[in-house]
Amino acid sequence: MSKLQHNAISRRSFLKASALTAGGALLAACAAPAAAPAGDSGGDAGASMEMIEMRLSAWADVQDAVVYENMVNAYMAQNEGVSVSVEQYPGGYYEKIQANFAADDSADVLYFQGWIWQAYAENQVIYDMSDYIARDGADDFFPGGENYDNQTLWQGGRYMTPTDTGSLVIYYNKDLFDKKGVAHPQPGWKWEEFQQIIQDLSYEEDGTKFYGWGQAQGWNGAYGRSTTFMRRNGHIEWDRITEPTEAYWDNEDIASALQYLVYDAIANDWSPGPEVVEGGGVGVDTGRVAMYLEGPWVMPRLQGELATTEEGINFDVIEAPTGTADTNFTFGHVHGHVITSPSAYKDEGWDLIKFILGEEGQTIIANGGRMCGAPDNIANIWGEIASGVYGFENTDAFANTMRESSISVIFGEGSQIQAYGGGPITVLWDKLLGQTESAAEALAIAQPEIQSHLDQYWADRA
Amino acid sequence: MTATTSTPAIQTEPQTRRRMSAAQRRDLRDGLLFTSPFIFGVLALWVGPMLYSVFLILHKWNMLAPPKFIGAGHFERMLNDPLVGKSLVNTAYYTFIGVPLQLVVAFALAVMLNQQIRGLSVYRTVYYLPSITPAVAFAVVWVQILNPEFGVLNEVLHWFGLGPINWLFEPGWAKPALIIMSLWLTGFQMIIFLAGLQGVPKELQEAAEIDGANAWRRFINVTIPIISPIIFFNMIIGIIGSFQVFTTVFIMTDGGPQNATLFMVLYIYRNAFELFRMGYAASLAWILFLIIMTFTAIQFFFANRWVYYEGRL
Repeated sequence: MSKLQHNAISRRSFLKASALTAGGALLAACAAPAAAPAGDSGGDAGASMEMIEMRLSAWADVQDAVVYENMVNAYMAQNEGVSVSVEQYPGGYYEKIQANFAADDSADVLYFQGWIWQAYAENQVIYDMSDYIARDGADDFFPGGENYDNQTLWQGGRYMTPTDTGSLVIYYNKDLFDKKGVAHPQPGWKWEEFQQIIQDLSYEEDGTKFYGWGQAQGWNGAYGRSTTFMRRNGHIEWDRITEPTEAYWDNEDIASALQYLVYDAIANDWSPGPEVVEGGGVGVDTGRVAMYLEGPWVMPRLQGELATTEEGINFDVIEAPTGTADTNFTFGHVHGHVITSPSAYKDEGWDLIKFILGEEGQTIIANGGRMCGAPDNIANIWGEIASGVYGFENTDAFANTMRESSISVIFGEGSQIQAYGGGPITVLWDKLLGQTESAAEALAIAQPEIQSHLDQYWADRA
Repeated sequence: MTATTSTPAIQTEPQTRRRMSAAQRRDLRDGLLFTSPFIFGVLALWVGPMLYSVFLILHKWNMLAPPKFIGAGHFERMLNDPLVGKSLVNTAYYTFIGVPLQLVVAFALAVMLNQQIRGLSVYRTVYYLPSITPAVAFAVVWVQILNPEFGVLNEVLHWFGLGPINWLFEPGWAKPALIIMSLWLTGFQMIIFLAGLQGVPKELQEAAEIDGANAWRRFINVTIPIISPIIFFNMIIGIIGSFQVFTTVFIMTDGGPQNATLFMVLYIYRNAFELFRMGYAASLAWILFLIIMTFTAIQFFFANRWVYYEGRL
């Protein structure tokens, strides 16, 4: 009788079979991705009879998954024959995008922040949409202005669309102002008034500290959140915003802004230091900080189901204070979509992007908690939705800020410095946050280091 | 006829190699089959990328465009890059101060756990547990422990009238903070030491005691030499591991403050994934590999002078 009949397979044979199966499965798993691209990259216009399957990347927050699932469902309902799948890359969004490009497996349409995509344009892995824009008369989707152009144009080509934005405005706790009898800030307020309010609203009560200002730790303790104050009197720390060649950091306006807002504010307990913020429990969302500069994404923590405190924060917003330049230099984030050069569905990708930028798409974005791309849409679509959900009044602040906004700096490939710092700028901030040097001392050291970085950046390009 | 003395012909192996028997062939085949998943993994996920990284040393590659040959360009850059020296110094500081401390702590724990006391297995488990904690969770916990305002460490220092210390926010204290944190992870080394201590022959201890050696002399002259191979092993592993520290630094300080905790692997990661310099990162990685190999070779060279292997003359 055979072994099977006896059901007497030996242990050795069983282990051999297991090893064979495991090895075979491993080979099959590795072979499958090699087979797959042949189907994807082989598609062309001639395959239009078949369902077009596009891939769209979405930012890795939970709310973005919801926004873009709603978006593609609405788009597909109007576009039979096109299927769009949304993919997120948590735990390293840009690293995964790079890896996908290296593997020749990038999505068709990618979501980017406005100061990150330039290296990809330099390497021509994302597509210049200028021809599409001209063909379809789509200029209206691009609000214009230096900030929007800085974040969507690169060397004359339009690579990214302004899908959603994030203007940084001052969020203030109305109850803390009222408690101390301090008048709420009004549009057009100045730097000096801002400084006084910070001090007036910093106090201790029953052993608990309350701070007038929150500028420490994380994004709040970074270069990108400080430009509005650094540039308040019109001095810009670069000769130009996009790919500067000269650095002008060692300047009195910059020194005084950073000395006050970072160094002095922490030393005098007008602002919690990074170690306090890291310990948790101290922020505008917990009711212990009167003001900070933040984007619209912080509102769910202030009011609503996701609010940090049960009762929420009674807040409003206002544009950042100005100096003698009378202009708001706040960093206005522009985020948007690019079409990847390897995509076989560029036409369809552009069509999808136009839908996202249109009224229906922008309404889906606003309803999902993201701020619309253009100032007019911010005012007309997003403002009403957001104020209804989060209970604030000054909806104009966001649109106005985007109209006047700027960005800190933009570089191409290989720069340690980017919009939120990096390289010698991060070292400068570490000194201020750790109070190891005054702003003037730290800037005197940082200036030649930053200039050296610029020189190296241009030398690498040469 | 000439009488000759001849030496008997030396029996030699047949010139042709003996063919493997069917059983030997079967054994070879089975062995390769069993190890094939591992071999495949090593080739695909380790050897292959290593070989490609050798290729990248001579090329500029940003993962977006094809690699471009630049010869020794990366090494020229390295010589002029101040952060290379900074990261190497930081890494050396962490390694050559941290590893001896780790060995001392692990050994002390092993000696304490080599006693016959009640609840011994519980103590061993408790001291070993931190070393199997996921690195991210471990880092998050220690960020809180090291917090200057609320952290447990500063609270303990306060009991003795010391501190507070701005642990992760002051350049002078950031590396010591990470070294202190690394002492919590000595469970693996402790287990190895414990196994070694339990292998010290009791007869040798008794003989030394009979000869008048006190506990300290027995420890120095009997126990330490016997477990010197264990010390050597833990030292090698500790140095190799410390040179590659990354996860905790990435989460806790990201190289700050003021590049005080910019370690080599973190700098390699930044060049590879933030600055689009995959070729430069590969070059730095190979330099780190050579440094680790050199230190390992030096340790092996000097091992003969102090590591005792039983049975070796």
